[in-house]
Amino acid sequence: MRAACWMGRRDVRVEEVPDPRILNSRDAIVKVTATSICGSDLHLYNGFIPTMEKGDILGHEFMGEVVDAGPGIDPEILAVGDRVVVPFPIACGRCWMCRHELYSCCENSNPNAYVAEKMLGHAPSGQFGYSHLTGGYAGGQAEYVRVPFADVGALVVPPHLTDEQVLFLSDVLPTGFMAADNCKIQRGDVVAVWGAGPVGQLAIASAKLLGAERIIVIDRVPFRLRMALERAGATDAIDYEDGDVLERIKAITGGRGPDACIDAVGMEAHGHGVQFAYDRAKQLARAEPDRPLALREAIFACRNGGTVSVVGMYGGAVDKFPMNAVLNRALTIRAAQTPVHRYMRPLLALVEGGQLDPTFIITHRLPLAQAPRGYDLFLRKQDDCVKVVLVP
Amino acid sequence: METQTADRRGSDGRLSTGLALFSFGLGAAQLVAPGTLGRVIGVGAHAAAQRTLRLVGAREVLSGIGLLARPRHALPIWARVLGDAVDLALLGLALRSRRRRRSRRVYAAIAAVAGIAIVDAYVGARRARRGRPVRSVALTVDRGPSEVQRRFDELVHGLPGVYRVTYRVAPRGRGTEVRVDTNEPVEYDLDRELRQIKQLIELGEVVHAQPYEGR
Ligand SMILES: NC(=O)c1ccc[n+]([C@@H]2O[C@H](COP(=O)([O-])OP(=O)(O)OC[C@H]3O[C@@H](n4cnc5c(N)ncnc54)[C@H](O)[C@@H]3O)[C@@H](O)[C@H]2O)c1
Ligand SMILES: [Zn+2]
Ligand SMILES: [Zn+2]
Repeated sequence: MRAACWMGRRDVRVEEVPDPRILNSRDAIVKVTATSICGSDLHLYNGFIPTMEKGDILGHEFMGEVVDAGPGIDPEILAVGDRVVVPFPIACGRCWMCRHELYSCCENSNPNAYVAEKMLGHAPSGQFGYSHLTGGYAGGQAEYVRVPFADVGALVVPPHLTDEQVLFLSDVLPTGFMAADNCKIQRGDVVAVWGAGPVGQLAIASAKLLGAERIIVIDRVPFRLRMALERAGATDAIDYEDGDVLERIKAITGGRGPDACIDAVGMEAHGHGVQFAYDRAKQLARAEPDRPLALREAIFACRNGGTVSVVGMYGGAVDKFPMNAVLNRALTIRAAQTPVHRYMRPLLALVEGGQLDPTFIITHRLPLAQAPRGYDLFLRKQDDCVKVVLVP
Repeated sequence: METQTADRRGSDGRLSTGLALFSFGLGAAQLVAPGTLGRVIGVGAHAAAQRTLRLVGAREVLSGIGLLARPRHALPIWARVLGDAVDLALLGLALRSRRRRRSRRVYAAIAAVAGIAIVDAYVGARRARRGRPVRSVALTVDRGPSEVQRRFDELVHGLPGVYRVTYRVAPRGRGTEVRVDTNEPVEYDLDRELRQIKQLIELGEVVHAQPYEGR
């Protein structure tokens, strides 16, 4: 079959690779009908995530049709022919973490847990196409993909919804929703969102749905800011190229700061001045994997006693973390690799009911063969790119 | 509730006790009947030889006490090895002043002491190795203690360096805590093996991320 493979930094190629096979009893093989490129894939593309190996199959946002199912899967739950969307974390559904809905922390799905433990203290779950720290599972930017624990992972979707309506249940919709959900939004709250990529857009839409009254978006890409205002539901937009972000947020919030701040940027934040130069230099020297500019800004901006909700990805220990602000101003920090399984069904209901339509983020539809072009467009934000959907 | 299984320290524990009892027996003989013993091993029953044998006997009894009092330390056993060397040297000296008929007995005594020295050195080496820092790997398995203990007892065998497995009921519905102590310098493998045992218990199979050889 054909699959998008990571061949090194800024080098993605569509290669001929062996077809996946059933290896465990609760595996399914899914014939992919739609898959997309995530901001997290860009961190791989840029070579910032350790333990990638040349030839690894990329992709953790995908859906398709079940073409084979292992003997451990109850046919009442999942059967050949079902149309499914698959969460990016791999979760056994039976361990203590899974039973407490901490699916992205499943204790049984990451065979390389002992490696991750050295870096993180404890290990997260396995994930599709996201380095060997999360197991080295093959990803879904491919014609076929093996889905372990498909009976708890793969969600059967109703036929009247299109692929594009449900595809983002695999990652960015639950991630944007969790980002807002973690803010414990009350009616009338002010929420600021750093990053107007797919995750930021859907965080804004979710914050609006959950009752936020004023939503401030911060980015520097004009069409992304416009999309946030016109499509997602932001009320104020700040182009961080235009001057001091903190000052402008204070001006918008009566000097008090937003009730909650969402970091939907992560480790590759852009910026200006000494701090950016410092982080960029350290990152290039491999002395620090992250440039946490947006995170620092979100912490500084947040009102006293407010919540900083982090969904942007971080690869290592961040530098110059303003713990003094967190402590003195009673901030709460919440973060996670999204336990997608927890949010899929309620979000599917919202999509079905028309309260949430994530398709507005799609700007490009390309055949899988053009995955390299998709990565490049998305990275450079050329051609007003926000989200690329690949069709095998 | 806390239970232990697979304590592999038993074997040299028995060896140590055996050595201690042997020391008491030999020491007693040397203290009580140095003349008879001197004749048996070919060093004679004259006053000097009896004095030496009493001293050696006293040391023998002390070393037996040391072995029992400090069952996990290497020091008492190396003291024994040193004593064995002294005995061999004394027997060597005796050899020089003996006539041929007696020297055959001395040779036999040398062989016996050398044999004991080898056993002492073996136990000493094991104890020294066990003295290396012990690493524990702990994990929680989402099942009751009897099932977890039964499955681990089956599956933990054959893993290198595992010498003790401790089980404890985890707080409030969290299953069973398993702690595995090891003194082998294994880095990753033990963790991986133990996780696979957890997978076998919780899921019924080992989880594979990638196809491996033969599949
Ligand atoms: N936690 C999770 O489970 C999860 C899931 C999906 C994605 N992510 C992460 O979320 C982040 C965003 O993903 P995406 O798909 O939207 O990616 P993206 O790259 O399209 O979006 C990032 C946006 O941040 C903007 N940006 C850069 N520096 C900024 C700054 N200093 N201030 C404000 N905005 C800035 C960029 O212009 C861009 O529009 C990534 O780090 C990704 O890895 C996390
Ligand atoms: Zn993602
Ligand atoms: Zn699990």
